[in-house]
Amino acid sequence: MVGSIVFHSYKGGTGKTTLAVNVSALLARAGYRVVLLDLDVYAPTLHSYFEIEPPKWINDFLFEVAEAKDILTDVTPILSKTAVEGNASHEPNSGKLFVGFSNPSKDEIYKLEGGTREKVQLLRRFISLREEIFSTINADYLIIDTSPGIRYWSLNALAVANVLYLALKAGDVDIAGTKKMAADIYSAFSKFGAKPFLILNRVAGYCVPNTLFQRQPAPDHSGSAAPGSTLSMQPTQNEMTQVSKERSAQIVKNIGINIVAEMPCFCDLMFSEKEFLTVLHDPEHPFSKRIGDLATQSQRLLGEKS
Amino acid sequence: MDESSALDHGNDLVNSKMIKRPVKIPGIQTLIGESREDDKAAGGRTDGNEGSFLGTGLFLLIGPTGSGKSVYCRQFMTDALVSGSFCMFLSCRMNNRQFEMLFPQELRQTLAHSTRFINPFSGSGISGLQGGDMSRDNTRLALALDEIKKILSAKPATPIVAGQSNGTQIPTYCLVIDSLTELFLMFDEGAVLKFVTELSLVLQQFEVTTVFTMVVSQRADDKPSNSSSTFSSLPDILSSVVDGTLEMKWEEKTDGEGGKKGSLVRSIRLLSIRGQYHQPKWVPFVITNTGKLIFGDSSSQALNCTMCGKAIKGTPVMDSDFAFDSLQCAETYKKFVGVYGSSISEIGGLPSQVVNVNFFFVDIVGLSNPALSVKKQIEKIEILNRLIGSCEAYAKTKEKKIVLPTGDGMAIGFFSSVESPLILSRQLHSKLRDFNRNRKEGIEPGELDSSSENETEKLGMRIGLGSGPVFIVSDITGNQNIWGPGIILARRVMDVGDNMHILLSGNMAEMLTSLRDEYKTIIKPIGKYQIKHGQTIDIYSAYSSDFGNSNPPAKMLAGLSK
Repeated sequence: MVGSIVFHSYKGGTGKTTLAVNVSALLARAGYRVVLLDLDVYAPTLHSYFEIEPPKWINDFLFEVAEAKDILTDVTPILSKTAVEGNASHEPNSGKLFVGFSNPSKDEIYKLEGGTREKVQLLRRFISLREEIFSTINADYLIIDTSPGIRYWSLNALAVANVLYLALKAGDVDIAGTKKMAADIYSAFSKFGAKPFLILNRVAGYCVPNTLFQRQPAPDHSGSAAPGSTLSMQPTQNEMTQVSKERSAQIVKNIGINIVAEMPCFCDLMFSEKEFLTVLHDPEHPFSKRIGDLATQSQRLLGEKS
Repeated sequence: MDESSALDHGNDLVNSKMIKRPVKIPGIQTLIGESREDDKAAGGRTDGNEGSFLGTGLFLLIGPTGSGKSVYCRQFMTDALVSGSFCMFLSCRMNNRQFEMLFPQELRQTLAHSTRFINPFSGSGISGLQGGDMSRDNTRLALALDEIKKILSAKPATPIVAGQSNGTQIPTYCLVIDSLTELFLMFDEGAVLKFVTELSLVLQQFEVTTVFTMVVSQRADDKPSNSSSTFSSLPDILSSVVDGTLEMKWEEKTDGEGGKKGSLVRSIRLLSIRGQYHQPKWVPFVITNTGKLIFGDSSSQALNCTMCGKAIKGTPVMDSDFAFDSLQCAETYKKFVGVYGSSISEIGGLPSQVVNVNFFFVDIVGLSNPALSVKKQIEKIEILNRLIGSCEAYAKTKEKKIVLPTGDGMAIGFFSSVESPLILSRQLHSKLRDFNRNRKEGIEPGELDSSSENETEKLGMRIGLGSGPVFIVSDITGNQNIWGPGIILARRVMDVGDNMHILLSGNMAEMLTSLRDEYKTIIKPIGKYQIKHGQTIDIYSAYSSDFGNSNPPAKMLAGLSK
């Protein structure tokens, strides 16, 4: 057993699911047995992401109508296929990725909001699911995607995790909300061994808005600028890096949690119809490189498999 | 919870005339269960009365020094106090202060009115005994017996109604004598045996669940010592007057399994039980760092993890009163405590410790008036609910609270603020005045218009406020429930009052008046009132020109104080 990682955020739209799936895929490709759970029970998306309708859902396990092995779907073949298509390295290894999906049916979601007695039973089942994932399924990593904000099942996921990845955009609303969560929620978990880290998503550094372009005189033989002419000159990479570093330092100081990764705003991913396992589909993409770094960091934080 | 079940539920909880739960000795179900499981497994006979043994009666608890007898007695008394029983404790080696220190802080304010400490050699333990020659003065035993009889014979303020359909009265007393060994050392053997025999007859008459402890040295073959000492035969003699004998032992771990090497493993067994066949089997138990006993071991799988609910195999990880099957579960539990608070019953169902709660107890005066139709009664209850629901102290507070309907009123427990019950009372009185003014002009608070028509239209109520410890548990429906001396006291205070009274228990009044000077002007002492078991409580009344009732309660005026 190595450990469990949860992806959480104060607000939605911070990229938790994309990050969780791609990190899981890379760890599996690295030879680990990974279980990815969709615990965003109020708005589950992994079944859409993988286009899978599983025979049994996490909900079925929680309500004791399924065993752990019944609710986990082996998506390793999908990883392999995507890797081949993306010309990613395809060395065979023992890595596996199993995914547990949450039922998007309205009635199933309502059932999870049962009375206090039911909630305790469900919580205990969830904890036993974690135990079984490590003891019976022999997972190395358990990755959990959650709902944003303070929700019952998100807190349950945070409570069972060893490492907490808190995704946020570098805007003041996200920062303020994450800071509040850090004080109210994350501190309670870190006090008893959980390691929280920030993942800054959609930060500057990949594409540069034209407001940052500098006006430069058009070259003419007189050496003076033609009126109204503008040449674009992007800020230098150093300048961008400096801005980014200063901003990051401010965020760390404000929230009180260190940053483990910064994911630039990749417009091609943002505007694509469907992001799907970019780390395998396009291993050379800068996003994939960053995910690779994050996966490596995760291994370090949880300890390598012996 | 629908109204009918809420009514039953509330009545079950708080009506002082209702069912009192018998005090069982700790771990008895585990002890009986263990022996019966073995019996069945071995194909042995059983008495067929698996469900009939209550775990009440007189018990002799024997074992060597250090086996946990005194801790067992403390657990027994704590359970009894929380269930609302009156407890007596007899010891030759303690004083009253040392006795009080046995109990957690949250129970200490209950001790004053729910316990009696008796030391035959202490002037303060028994009235009339003033030191004197402390040698073998057997009359002290007789005086101690008289003291116990007096306590048991004191007439309660409200009758205890039969709690079961067969008319059996359920005891509300418990007694611990820790230990008989000391009595044998201080008095003649014959005198002690006579004392125990006579006492047993009294205790059986009043159905007092009792534990006598006695030091018996441990033998390797699990049999009580067979030396020629007089003491060795005493357990056999005493077994003729008790209903059952429990035995404790301890042994030092010589290997790492089930605990650290060198640590003590304690066990208990039900050695004998009158009228019941069973095979004694040792059941291990642990003493937590708060002094609580937890029974069971890995083979019996009696201990379950508080967090995941699974049976604990091997040594449990203990934290406070809770057992976990792994450090990870213990840490997960602590994380939840960090998020939801120490009263983790927020998420429901997990065991809670005793907590101190501030109670507001209200009932409608005159609801049982035969002139009142059922429809009118229901209407009044609904009006009360609406009025309380509209009070800011109820509706807008973020403070954790629990509401227990009682049929003709309700109890509301506020978990944080001792002021909340009084603030709610004043707001409710203000709303009630407006309501009643609309019904009838010119009626002064506390007065009931004699005309039946006006009386049925007005709403009268009395309020009792009290503060004390309770257990928070989940009931069978999964809803939160509370039980303990805190809510019982508030109910008893309310029962003393008349229409428009806001009465407070002494402890709550003292807390409030020390909090703000303004409370000193509106909370006034009105005297002592005797309730049950000879207990007396201090009653205060909160009133001013615009709330409360400045007249003393009729019950106190009529001289029912004792």
